[in-house]
Amino acid sequence: MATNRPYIRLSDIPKNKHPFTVPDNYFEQLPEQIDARIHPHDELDVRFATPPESTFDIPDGYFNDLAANIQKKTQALELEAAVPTQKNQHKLWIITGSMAAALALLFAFSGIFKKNTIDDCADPLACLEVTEAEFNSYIESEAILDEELLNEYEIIENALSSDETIPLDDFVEETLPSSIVKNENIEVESETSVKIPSDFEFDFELTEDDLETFDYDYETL
Amino acid sequence: MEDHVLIEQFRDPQSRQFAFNQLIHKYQERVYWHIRKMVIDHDDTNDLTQDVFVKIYQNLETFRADAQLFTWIYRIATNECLGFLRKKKNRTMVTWDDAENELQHALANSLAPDGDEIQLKLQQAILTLPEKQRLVFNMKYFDELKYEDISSILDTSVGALKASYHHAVKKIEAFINQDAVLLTSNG
Repeated sequence: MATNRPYIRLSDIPKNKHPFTVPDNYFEQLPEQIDARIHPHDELDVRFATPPESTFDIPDGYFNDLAANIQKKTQALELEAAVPTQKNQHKLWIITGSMAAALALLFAFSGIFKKNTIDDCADPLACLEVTEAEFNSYIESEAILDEELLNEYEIIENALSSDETIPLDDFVEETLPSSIVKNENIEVESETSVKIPSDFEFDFELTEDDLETFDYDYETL
Repeated sequence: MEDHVLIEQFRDPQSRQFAFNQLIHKYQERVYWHIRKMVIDHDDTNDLTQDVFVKIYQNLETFRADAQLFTWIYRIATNECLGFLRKKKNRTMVTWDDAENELQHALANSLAPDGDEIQLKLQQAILTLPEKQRLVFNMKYFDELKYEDISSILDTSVGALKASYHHAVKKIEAFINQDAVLLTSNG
């Protein structure tokens, strides 16, 4: 037979937040269990931290002297680094020689550069020196032309000798400009001829008969 | 110790272990009970609780401060629970009813011996709820979390959570009163 019971609401039930049983001291041990899960290698680290027994034979007292021997070697290395040895001096000579060779090459290249500058007549004084040298060479090579000119004057002198006698040396000094005698200030026109300055004047006059006789070409003078 | 202090100390390798130990002591019982109410069995709960804290340790360095630490921990614990229950059902190839019966059996062995009958009925009623509704009910009723916090844990809107909780309460009360009527009529 059913009886009337009040309708049970959730709010009528006492709230029990932890309704289940838990082993004793469970929450005290839980952090340690979690840490063991996170760092499972700690046990291995302890195991490997123990030095294993060596299977090789070593001299008696080896490890007692090992530290001292290593210290000696390190001190020797420090000394070698601080003091220049014969080997280091040899290296120093090689470096010095290399630097000297480099300087010599530098000067050599500098000389070539200077020569190229003269050739290009970048320096006016150098250009003048070159021009003078070339002119001297030209005068020497064209001495025949000078002789021909003198011969021509000699012919003229002979032609005029019937009226007036003029010594050859005096004639040359008086009629030819000193610049020609001294090989100075002569304008080079070509390799085969020398142009007489325009202000040059003969101290004598030639007749038309003379010109016809000697077939002399004024235009070449 | 405040959560932001714990996180700062955890990010420093020098104080990491100390900070994590403090974090375990602060949250271990909340995590344990949250899991226990879902899987019922203590051993399963113990394994899952340890898994949760291992994941916390592995990911706390990348935890963003724009979320609350405890909601982040709850979220990890919830996901572990749901994953465990899903695997358990798939592994044993049992129906949902069989799984519920298994939980009911575990419940009988887990309740405190001095627990009264109404507490047993309440836990039996909760086990009849779908998993997600059970989560909502546990967090709201037992843990007394705000809907906003549950919302961030379960990625569900506050309105949906309120409706779910309301339905859960109705189901539980119906279960308790129905069983009470049956008990009374049988008696």
